[in-house]
Amino acid sequence: MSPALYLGFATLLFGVGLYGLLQRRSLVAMLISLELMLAAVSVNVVALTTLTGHDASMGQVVALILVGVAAAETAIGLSLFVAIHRASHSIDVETLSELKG
Amino acid sequence: MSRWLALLPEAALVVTGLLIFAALMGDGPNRERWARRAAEVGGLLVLVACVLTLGRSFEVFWVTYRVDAFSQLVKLAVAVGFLVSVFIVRDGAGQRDDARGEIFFFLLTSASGLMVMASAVEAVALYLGLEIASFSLFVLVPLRERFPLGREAGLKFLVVGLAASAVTLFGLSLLIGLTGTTKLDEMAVALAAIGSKPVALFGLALFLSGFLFKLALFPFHFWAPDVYESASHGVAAFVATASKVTAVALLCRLLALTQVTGTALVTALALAAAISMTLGNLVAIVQRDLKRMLAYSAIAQAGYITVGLVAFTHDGFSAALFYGVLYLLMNAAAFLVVARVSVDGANVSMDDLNGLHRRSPLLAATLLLALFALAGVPPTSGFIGKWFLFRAAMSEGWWWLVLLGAINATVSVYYYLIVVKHAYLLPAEGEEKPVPLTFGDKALCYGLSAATLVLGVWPTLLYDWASRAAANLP
Repeated sequence: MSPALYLGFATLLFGVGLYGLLQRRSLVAMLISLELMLAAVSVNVVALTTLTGHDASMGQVVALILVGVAAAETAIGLSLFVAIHRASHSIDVETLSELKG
Repeated sequence: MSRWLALLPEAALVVTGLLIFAALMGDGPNRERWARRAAEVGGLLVLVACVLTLGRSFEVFWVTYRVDAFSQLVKLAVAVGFLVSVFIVRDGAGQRDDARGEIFFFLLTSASGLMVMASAVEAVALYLGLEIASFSLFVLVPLRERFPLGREAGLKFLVVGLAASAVTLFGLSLLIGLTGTTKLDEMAVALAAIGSKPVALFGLALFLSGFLFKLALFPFHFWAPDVYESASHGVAAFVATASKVTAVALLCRLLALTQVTGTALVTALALAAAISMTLGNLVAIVQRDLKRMLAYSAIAQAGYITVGLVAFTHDGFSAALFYGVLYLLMNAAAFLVVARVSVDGANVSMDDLNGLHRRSPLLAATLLLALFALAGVPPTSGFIGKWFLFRAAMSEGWWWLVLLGAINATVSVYYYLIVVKHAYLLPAEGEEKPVPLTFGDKALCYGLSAATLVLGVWPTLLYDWASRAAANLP
């Protein structure tokens, strides 16, 4: 297998995640899209380090660390979503548009 | 054994963390007061530890963690920023009642993340430091009392921050894949061998985005006004000071990774700087909320700093580091005034400043100096800082960018002067209530104002330090 194939797949997955993040209006769906983006990074780092003849174990360790980071992100995100749901009984971002950035 | 003394600031951080944690374990009415005492004492300990370890150099953990002039400058700045923010928080006015003590703990975790970033010379450790620093702030921003928009701002901060962090990681994965190492100095060697391949530049550009997000440079700026407005004063002060100076420093370190002069990445950064300056300054003019105005001014200042960075010379990096530290001091002064003028932790509008020179001459003078420094009026530190930044860019031929920066600095004088007009010329409506100041408030006002003036007249010592720090990057 060539690294280019994996690179293309990871970029595609990342793009799907980014599209979902911008497109979906539900907070949980946005969080899932973020997970897709992180998964793309893991695929990328494992595939590139293995297939280009570098130290493969390093890529795997990086991927494992990323799993931990993703779990922390989800925990913080979900706790904020619960707080928002308690206040406004909705997790649709359309109902939260009082601030103008 | 004595080599390990170089890690004294980190040890002080651990001790502070334990102290605050112990204070928060209690369950009495004095819980947050103890937490505050612990944070203040701990912050002083960290500051003293930073000063004591100056001049040491040390590498540890298989050369992934390095203590040198660069990391010491950033750590000292972060320690000052942390201490000032804790001081501004005071009793946590404006923070939710049940989270008044926790604010100190999360500020501390954020500061420790920033300190790890300053010393890390390994990409994954660097990324983890960035995330520790950001996650603590994601938690702190929505915890504002009587401010329903706080949650929304927190959400915006979180979503934009997580997206920026995913992009950063994607860039990191490309860099690791290309070079086969996570250590920054080995990465620099490998990248030099590869040359300026588009994919390497693309990876580096993506990797930078997480730090540009922290710096609030266009196009990663749109969280800043909402977060500044919605976070309580102390948290906003921390975001605006310690977090910014670390972002500047890390951008220097990462941009020094590879020779990028003349590539599309430099053009993109220059354009981002130009748009950031113009947008920040123009939008700041119409703001009525003082913290929101400071946020747009921060976007503009991010643009000025990037003008120094695009020079890609040793001078440019030193000037950016130097300006980052100056910016921390002047912004800390501005936020201190905002926090003290504010009644019960509410936001401060321009009209709330009316008659400030009679209600509290010291606060009015501090605000005046801080704003003049932000605008770049001599003889304040802001002038000399911008001078170094623009000189570095000009010697590399960035005439149009420097010209735009100078025009922007002139525009910015206008809205800073509006604030000064409110503080000095307009009378307060109704009765003028004096602003109560503690001894500590006064000392900090004098200290920050003196630093702004002294560094403006005599910048040599700090600039030499920044120059030494930038000498052996990455």
